[in-house]
Amino acid sequence: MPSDGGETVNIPSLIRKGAAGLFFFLATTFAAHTQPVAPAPQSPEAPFAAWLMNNEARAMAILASDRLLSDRISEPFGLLGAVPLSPAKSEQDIWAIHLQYYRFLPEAVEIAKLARRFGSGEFARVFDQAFPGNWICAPVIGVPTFHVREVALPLNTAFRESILVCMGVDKDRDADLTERLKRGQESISADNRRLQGQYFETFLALYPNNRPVRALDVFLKNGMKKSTAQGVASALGLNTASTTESAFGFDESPGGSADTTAPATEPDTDAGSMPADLFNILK
Amino acid sequence: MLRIARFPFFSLLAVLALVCTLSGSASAVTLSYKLKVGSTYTYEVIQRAKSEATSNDVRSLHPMERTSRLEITVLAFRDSVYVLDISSGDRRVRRYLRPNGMVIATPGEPGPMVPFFATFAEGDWQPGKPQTISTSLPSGKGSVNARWETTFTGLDTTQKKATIGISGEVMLPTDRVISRTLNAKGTMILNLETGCPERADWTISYEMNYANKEIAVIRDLWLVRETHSTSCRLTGVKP
Repeated sequence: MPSDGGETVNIPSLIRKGAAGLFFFLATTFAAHTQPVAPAPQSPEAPFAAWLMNNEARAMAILASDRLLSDRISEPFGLLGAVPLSPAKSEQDIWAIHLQYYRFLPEAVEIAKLARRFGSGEFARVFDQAFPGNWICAPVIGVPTFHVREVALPLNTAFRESILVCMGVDKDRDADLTERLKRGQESISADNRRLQGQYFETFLALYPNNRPVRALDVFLKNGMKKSTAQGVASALGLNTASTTESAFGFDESPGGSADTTAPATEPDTDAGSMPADLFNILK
Repeated sequence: MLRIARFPFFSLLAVLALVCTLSGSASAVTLSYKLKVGSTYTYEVIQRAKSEATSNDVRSLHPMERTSRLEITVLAFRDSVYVLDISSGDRRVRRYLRPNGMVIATPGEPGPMVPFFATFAEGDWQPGKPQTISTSLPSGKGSVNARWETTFTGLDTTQKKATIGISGEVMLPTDRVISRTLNAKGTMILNLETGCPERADWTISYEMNYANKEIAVIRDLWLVRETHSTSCRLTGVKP
């Protein structure tokens, strides 16, 4: 007990507490920084595109290197030094076709996602429930002088359009998804579309467990069902979906493309799956 | 009796030996360039190239053809080395060439790009007996072996022209997934009197078969083929 009546200050105890506190602070800070960050979900077409790009890159590197060697034996006789004739690199035509796939596939995935989100009818039902015109006017339904429909309709329309804008949906572009998919597919010639299908077959033969790519392949082969396209149009408040029976039926059966939007966040390491590092160009 | 019996045998042997010697000396030749200093040798060069890429059913083909003129001026011959000024299209190079075809200097041409030339071995050439030279060419991080095989295939005694066959190969690494071949084949007709090539034709062929393999599944992806043919014909010597 000190003579001045004050409390005894236990310095070693304070140091110990301070050190412990510092330790916990550092530990929690360190732990927070070393927490595994969940990878951003990759787009369903990403494994296929990465696979194709990797192979392209490897083939490009081999061809560039081999062409240098070809030049080295292009003049067997030192006396006859004619300028070697360099033909057009025909493989570049193939790479140009692939470029069409890289442009089209994200578009197809977006269409599939929209179809899945809006095509089931669930969205339209929730939308209907949330329409402000419906619930604002509910108490005054039956009042003779109050024209419910005249009030509710503009409210609902404004609400729908605002929500769709917020969701990044373009009514003009997305009202008829079948037509949008068709437009995208027609940007690629029939031969090149067939080649794309063959690439998908090759990819799925090599990596049979890749579900997102399988789903995308099924979607591209079958397209959307008429009911799905109409569901989307209905959800968007426009009934402009193609009335003709589409050749594309968006298969949402368990064995089909139900999982088109399922992110492949879990690294597949078993046989038949893509390697974790998709862009392994330099390996 | 023994002497009489042996005589025809030795005579036959001697005649055979004489025939063999004569025939050997007649067909064996020395292959070398004998160019005239101050002269310009002009060749018409026809080149054809074809590049083809196939992916499943899609096939892309690009043929090309070009005719050009090649002029070789012999500037000097010193210490058994010809100094040549070679001009073709917009390219003009200077090469120092030994009579056996060996290029010892190529000022103005970047070292790594200087072609691997075939040379004629010293001494007499026997028909059908190939002469091989090989080298190592840098490729990527490593190197690959390349070789030229030159064969004296025939002699036109009346016109004093020797036909020389040439074949080359670059041993590209290959496996079950990616296979590549690069080879060359050609002929040259060398006028033994004037010592310059009258005609030379060669073709370089390249093929790459690119596949993918995962576990036990192998799938072909792309096939790239290229051929480059060059045909040189002597059109004049001045003066």
